[in-house]
Amino acid sequence: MNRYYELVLVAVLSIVFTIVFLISGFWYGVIVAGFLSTVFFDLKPYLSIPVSTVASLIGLIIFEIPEISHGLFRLMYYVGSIAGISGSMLILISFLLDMLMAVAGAFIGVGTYRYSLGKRNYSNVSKH
Amino acid sequence: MKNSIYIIIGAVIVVLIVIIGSITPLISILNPETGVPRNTSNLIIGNETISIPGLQHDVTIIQDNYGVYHIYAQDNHDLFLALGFIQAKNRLFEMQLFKLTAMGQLAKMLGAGYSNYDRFQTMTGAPLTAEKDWNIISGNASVNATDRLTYEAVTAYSEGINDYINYSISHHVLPFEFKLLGYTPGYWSPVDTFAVQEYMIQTLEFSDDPLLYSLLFYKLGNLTNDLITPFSPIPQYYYGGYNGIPNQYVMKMSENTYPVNATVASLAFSVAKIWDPLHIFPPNPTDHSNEWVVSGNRTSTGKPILVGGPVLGFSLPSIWFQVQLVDPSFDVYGVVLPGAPIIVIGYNEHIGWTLTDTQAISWGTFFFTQTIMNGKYLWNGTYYPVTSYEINGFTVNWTNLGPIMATNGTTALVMDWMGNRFSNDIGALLEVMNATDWKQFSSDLEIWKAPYQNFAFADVNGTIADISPAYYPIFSSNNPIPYNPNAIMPGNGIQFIIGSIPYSMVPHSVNPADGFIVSSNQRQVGPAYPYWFGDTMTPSPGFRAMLEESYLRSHSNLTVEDMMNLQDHNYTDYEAFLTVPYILKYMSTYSNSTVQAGISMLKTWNYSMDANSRAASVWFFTYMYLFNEIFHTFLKDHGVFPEYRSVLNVTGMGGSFPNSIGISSFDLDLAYILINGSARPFSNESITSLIANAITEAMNYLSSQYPSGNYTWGHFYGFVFPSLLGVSQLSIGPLPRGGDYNTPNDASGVGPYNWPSGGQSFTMILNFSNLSDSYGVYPGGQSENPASPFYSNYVDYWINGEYLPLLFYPSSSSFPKAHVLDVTTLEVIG
Repeated sequence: MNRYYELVLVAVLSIVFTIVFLISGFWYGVIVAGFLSTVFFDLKPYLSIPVSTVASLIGLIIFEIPEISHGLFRLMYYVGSIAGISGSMLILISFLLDMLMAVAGAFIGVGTYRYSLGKRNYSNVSKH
Repeated sequence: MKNSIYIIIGAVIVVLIVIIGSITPLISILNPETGVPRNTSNLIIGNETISIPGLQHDVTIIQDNYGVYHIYAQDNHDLFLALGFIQAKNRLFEMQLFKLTAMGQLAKMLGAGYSNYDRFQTMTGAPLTAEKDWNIISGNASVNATDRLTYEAVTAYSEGINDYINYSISHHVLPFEFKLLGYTPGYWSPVDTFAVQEYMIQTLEFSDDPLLYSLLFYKLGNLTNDLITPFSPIPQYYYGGYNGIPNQYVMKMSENTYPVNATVASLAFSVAKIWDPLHIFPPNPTDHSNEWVVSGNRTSTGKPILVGGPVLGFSLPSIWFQVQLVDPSFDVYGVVLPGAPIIVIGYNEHIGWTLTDTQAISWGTFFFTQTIMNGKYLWNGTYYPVTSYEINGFTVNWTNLGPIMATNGTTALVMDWMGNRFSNDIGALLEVMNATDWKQFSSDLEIWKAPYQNFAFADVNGTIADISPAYYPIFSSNNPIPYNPNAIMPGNGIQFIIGSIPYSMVPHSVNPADGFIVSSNQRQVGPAYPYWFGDTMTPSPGFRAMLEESYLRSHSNLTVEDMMNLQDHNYTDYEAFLTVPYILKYMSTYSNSTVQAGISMLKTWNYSMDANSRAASVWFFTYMYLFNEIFHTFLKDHGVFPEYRSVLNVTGMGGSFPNSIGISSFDLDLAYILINGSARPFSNESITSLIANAITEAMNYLSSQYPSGNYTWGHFYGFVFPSLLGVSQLSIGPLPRGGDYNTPNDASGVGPYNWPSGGQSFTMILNFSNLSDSYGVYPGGQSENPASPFYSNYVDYWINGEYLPLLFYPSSSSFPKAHVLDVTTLEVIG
């Protein structure tokens, strides 16, 4: 498959799985989203990992668009003032956490693909 | 190995994320679906339909464009269930905070740091009494109509709150405070509603004044009678009459204080020190509420106007939640408390009512010394076992008189608080909510026991009235004259409560010839009243009532606008009006330039505490320094200070200086001193010298604060609206405004930075010629979510002395669309 299309697929899968797991309320599922969006593609890690991660962040932002329009920033300002931290910092932390989860899943996905590819190659060699 | 490195890095990051999620609440709080961001869904303004269990018919809830909810149901059960649901939807955190505070269980939610508060609250008996009250009402529900109505309303209301708790958990919209605290609110029980009733009794009628009185008497002896006089030394307005020669029996009783020994004094001091150990909510500024009602012969329309302004501590969210409740039995509008399904202040199509605190009879809190030995208390020569209760993990011991507050050897200090007597206030108000005339209204209030309240009343037929129903105790004693109940009394059977003032004799007034009634915390009945009704220590000194009376007596053809101006824009300090002319007279020949600078400002002053007035500042600080100069010196000379200063740091005007308390008697004494020109027996100095010193101190203070000379009153007075959690970003103020302790829009300096954080908590003006032309506002907003546009939207109206129209429509179909913000339909499941 054309590498460009593969990257698009990584991004789409990452966005979709991120949103699915966010809807489920299981935020840790974003790790799985990162994994699933990268594990099926033969791409260089320096391409697939950033694409998957940024796409997951876009998924989070898409998910939060209604919340933002209903006053998320205002709410986080007040929550932050109770917690002793700025509201913008809280939103930034939530983005970072999401990206951290996505990047972890992407690393594992890429590693798993390459590990399994390596095993297939080894197995092919031994048959010969 | 080269490929596994990716998996290893990924796994390390996963471990890191799991660690972050375990040791911090970040992942649960910031979770976009279940965490705090989800709470934005409660900020959406728009129509919605919610299916909830327990409803018998669909309920329509209209939110008007001011934020007020109008609930239209088809029966009582659905009405109160819907009220519970919609109130919890807007105020669940506040309701839980009230409940846990009242039940002495705050540590459960806020941590072990609150266990001292819980211990004290449990010791007072409030949680125990709440449970007893509910058990009595449940038991009587089959035979008593009021108890049955109470049972039905409270159980349906609890069901509605619990429906919302379930809804908010399943939709991840529990108030964010719970998410931050990691606390899941417990289900609401009817006992919790009675705990809120207990908490309100504590807020309004619960005091250590008798302990303070005994401490003063311990040091001052009979001089206490000069300081805390049985009756006001200056003429007062008593709405309930009896303004004649003092009743000698009552007079002697007030002056017959039981002399406590050193052991009892130390017990009193120890309890006074732990009294109200922690202010969860802003402290209640006492002595301040206003209510008056004007009959048709004094109004422009020929029909009554009722005006209410009950003073409570401010908070965001406010204590009040504004609703209209409509079903075939009820059509009533007003404000409800967090956790109680009753319109406390409001009106229906026939009648209206508002409340102020009576502040009579020692706030309903009495103390006795009692002998305790080997777990038994002494009563009339016989020892009986003390009853022990295990509540909230604390042991509470009761004698026949009440909870034991402190002991030293065999001597115990026992509290007999009227809040611990059975009272179905909720039932009384449920009946009042659909009363149609004065006869029914006054009959409904006969079961009201505590807190002691003045109920101002008016109806569409032209009746005006006021009544102060409560359990006002009558004391029996072995002494020919009972000991003063506003001090510690001897227990062991020597003195005790034998009954209460009959309902026909509680203070009241119906259609008086004056054509108006004012009941603004001043003493209700004059010196000729045949029952002991307290002394000057607890009721307001009465200057606000005098101002209101003076205004109403001298005006006719009164309009709603006149009432608004009197309630919110009249900043006349009536104590200044009475005493400043004497100050000017005494100081007319005094030549000191600093003193004359102050006097020249007072000479041209109109007694109005306007925010832009410099003379108002001169008056206030002169008064305060004069107060301190006379009374603090007196208290020092007699050993009250410094020993008891931590509990008896009295300052003028209700305690308008930081970290101080107010005792009304002292303010009356000072007015009397100024009018009579002598400070004896409190000071031997001449009045001229005392006033000169006070003006000098005031002028020096003002100059030091504002060297430019711009020390206008607005720099010192205004209001703060603190958030319930005390977070400054969620609070509003200080906002400058005119007024002081003696004006209708009053509050003393009890807030942070000495800015008042309390005041008229719901200003309401009812026009009985056309109830649709009625107005009201409370400083706050309907929502507790600080990001909501309804969190504090009423504050600006309130601080500017403006009102909002009270929209009162009998059906959802008649509600004008222009006034509808959104509609919530609560739907029967299935």
